[in-house]
Amino acid sequence: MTSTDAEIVARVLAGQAEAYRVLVDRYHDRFARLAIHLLGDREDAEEALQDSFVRAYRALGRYEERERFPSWFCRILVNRCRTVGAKRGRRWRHEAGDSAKPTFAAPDDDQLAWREEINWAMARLAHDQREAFLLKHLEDLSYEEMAELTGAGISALKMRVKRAGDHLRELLTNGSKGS
Amino acid sequence: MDPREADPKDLIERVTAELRRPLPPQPERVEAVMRRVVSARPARRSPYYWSVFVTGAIAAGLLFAVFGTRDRTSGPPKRTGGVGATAGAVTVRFTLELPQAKRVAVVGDFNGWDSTGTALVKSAPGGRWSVTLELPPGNYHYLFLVDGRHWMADPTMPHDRDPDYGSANSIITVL
Repeated sequence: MTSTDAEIVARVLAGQAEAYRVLVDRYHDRFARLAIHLLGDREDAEEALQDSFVRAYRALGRYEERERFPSWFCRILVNRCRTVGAKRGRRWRHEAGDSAKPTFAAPDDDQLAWREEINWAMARLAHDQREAFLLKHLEDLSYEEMAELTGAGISALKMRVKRAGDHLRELLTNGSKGS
Repeated sequence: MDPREADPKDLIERVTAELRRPLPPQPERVEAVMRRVVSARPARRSPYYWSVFVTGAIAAGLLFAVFGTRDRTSGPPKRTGGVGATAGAVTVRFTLELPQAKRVAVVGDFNGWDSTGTALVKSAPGGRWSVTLELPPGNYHYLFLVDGRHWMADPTMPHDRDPDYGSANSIITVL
């Protein structure tokens, strides 16, 4: 029988540190994907993710059972990604370059080229729009959950998601950033 | 079909589908996390942490009864220099008036956010809880942990939003 997150947390807090491996194993890949898309860099994402798991472990005493572990952890990760992203913002801008749409590699592999094109487009979104878009469409959070997590208002979040979608459509169809 | 040729209405769905594509399993990454976790300060469980939360009425009563403060009777923080004291450390007294509480601890940067915290001692008969710490100069975030389950900012001190957890922490600056 699979243990619930709350049962695992209780075991860790009772002194079974190794039980934390179950939570890491359970959520690593899901949140690695979020961190990669938030930061656009696998190494930065892995660093932010590892830091977040360690910070969450240290703070398990502050985790409240009434809150879902993934939601609680997601808040830690998003904040960590903001910090890492802010530190390396200069590199983001360098990688983003100008708005001209490049030719993507692997012309014989549509799926790979499509993936690269999405990464290129995501890198051109403002960070707050990219974050809101990913929380909505990748993590499938409600706007209420997003507001709780980010501290932003629901109206602002809706606007960010809409603008992110508009920009992505523009970038992916015309290759230039819309308004 | 080339995904870029999709109807614009479906484009976001196709982007989302690609973003959601699972990553290859990376067991070595899990091991890397666990190596760091093992070397981290272990989490501790508060005895009452998993008990059912008190009702809203009790919680509200508890909050209204709180009058936390830095101890004003002890004067300004005193710099200490005796044998065993941390060089340049300042004596800081944390107090909280909460007669109903059975246990109070202060948890913060100065004790590594250990959830067992640093216990405050109740003075009879007023219900004031207090503890004195020797802290080197610096800024410290902290919270009170009441009865092992209620996290409470110090209402008399400035608050700051925790960059990692999103909650409000009290801040003390030791000069």
